Amino acid sequence: MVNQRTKLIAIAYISNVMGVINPVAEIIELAHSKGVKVLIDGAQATPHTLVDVQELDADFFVFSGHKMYGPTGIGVLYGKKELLEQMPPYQYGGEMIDQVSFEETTFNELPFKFEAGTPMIAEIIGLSVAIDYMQEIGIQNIADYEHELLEYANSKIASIDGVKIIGTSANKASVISFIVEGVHHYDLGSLLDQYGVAVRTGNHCAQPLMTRMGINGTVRASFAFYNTKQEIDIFVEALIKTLNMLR
Amino acid sequence: MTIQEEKDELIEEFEMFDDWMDKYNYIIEMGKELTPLTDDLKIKKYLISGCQSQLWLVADYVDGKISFQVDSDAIITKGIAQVLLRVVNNRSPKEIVEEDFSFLDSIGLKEHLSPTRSNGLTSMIKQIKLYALVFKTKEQQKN
Repeated sequence: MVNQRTKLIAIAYISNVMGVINPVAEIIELAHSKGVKVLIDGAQATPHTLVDVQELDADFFVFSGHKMYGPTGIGVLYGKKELLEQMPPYQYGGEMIDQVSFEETTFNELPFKFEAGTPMIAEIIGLSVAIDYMQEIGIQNIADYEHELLEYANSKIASIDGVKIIGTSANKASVISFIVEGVHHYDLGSLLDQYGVAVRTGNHCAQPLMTRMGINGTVRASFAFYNTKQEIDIFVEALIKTLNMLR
Repeated sequence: MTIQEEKDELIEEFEMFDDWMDKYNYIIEMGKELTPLTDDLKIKKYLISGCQSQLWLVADYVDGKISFQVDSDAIITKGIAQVLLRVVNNRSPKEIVEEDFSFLDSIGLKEHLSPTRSNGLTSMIKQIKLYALVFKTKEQQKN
């Protein structure tokens, strides 16, 4: 897929549908060997795994606040300094200019060049606190605990008759996407909701992936570090009852 | 049965259920009762957008009344469609245009009207009303 016309590879670190952790370090190494820059979408990675953008050698890395217990409406774009310095501003406004005259305008230095106008102060403070909170707990502790939840849930769900788990990589984050033969994901989700179990249903904004897999959607259970094994038991029990109603 | 009598009967039926599970079981049963659409009608022309499940709605206008046929790949969506159809099927365009569907609150289906629910109930009501409006306008033009 990589040829002389390839300028940038943009790829998700972790699939929001299947939880699969993509080998981004290898992808970046391969891309760089061909002179291609890489942008990593780390929205699903930052809440669940330790990320070191420098060790990965990512050219760009993005993530969002609300996926890591922070406020909505804020995200982060990391970029290598030499690349960001080469890039023109995408938006104009206060704080991002250096000198302005009719002859010439120069722009402020990084990061101000890309932060025109009044910043979203409350959201920035909120995200900072959320990151501190996660670091206090320890991101590796979060990852280990979530992996334990994943394995526990996986063993329970896989044993239910007719359930097929979509995405069975050994290297995955704490989400389980599944389908049940003869049962529509919307029906399952509606009834689980009545039991107080929150799952996501549908194509998860990944329609080409659904087409590729030959399915029209999945039910997805996601586990965060605030979840417990007891909650997984409640979920599995509700799932069995729900399937009895629908089948 | 008038449109009001049909609505009152539905409200009465749903009042019998003490818990949500019985109510959903009833909706699922209603969904199973619905005559499936033949494959030649399950086409893009009749597909209603805005739902997670696929939902087809076909309308015919005969002797001043509109008859609807509906189908879905999700059983709960089908059941909810059947509730709607009991009220709007074989009614005049005027009756449907004037119907505000507030009876859905009384039978506890209001939660399904949330736009984020994406089950197509909101889109289905909109499409039913659009059909009625078109048939009403056509009728007025004839006279």
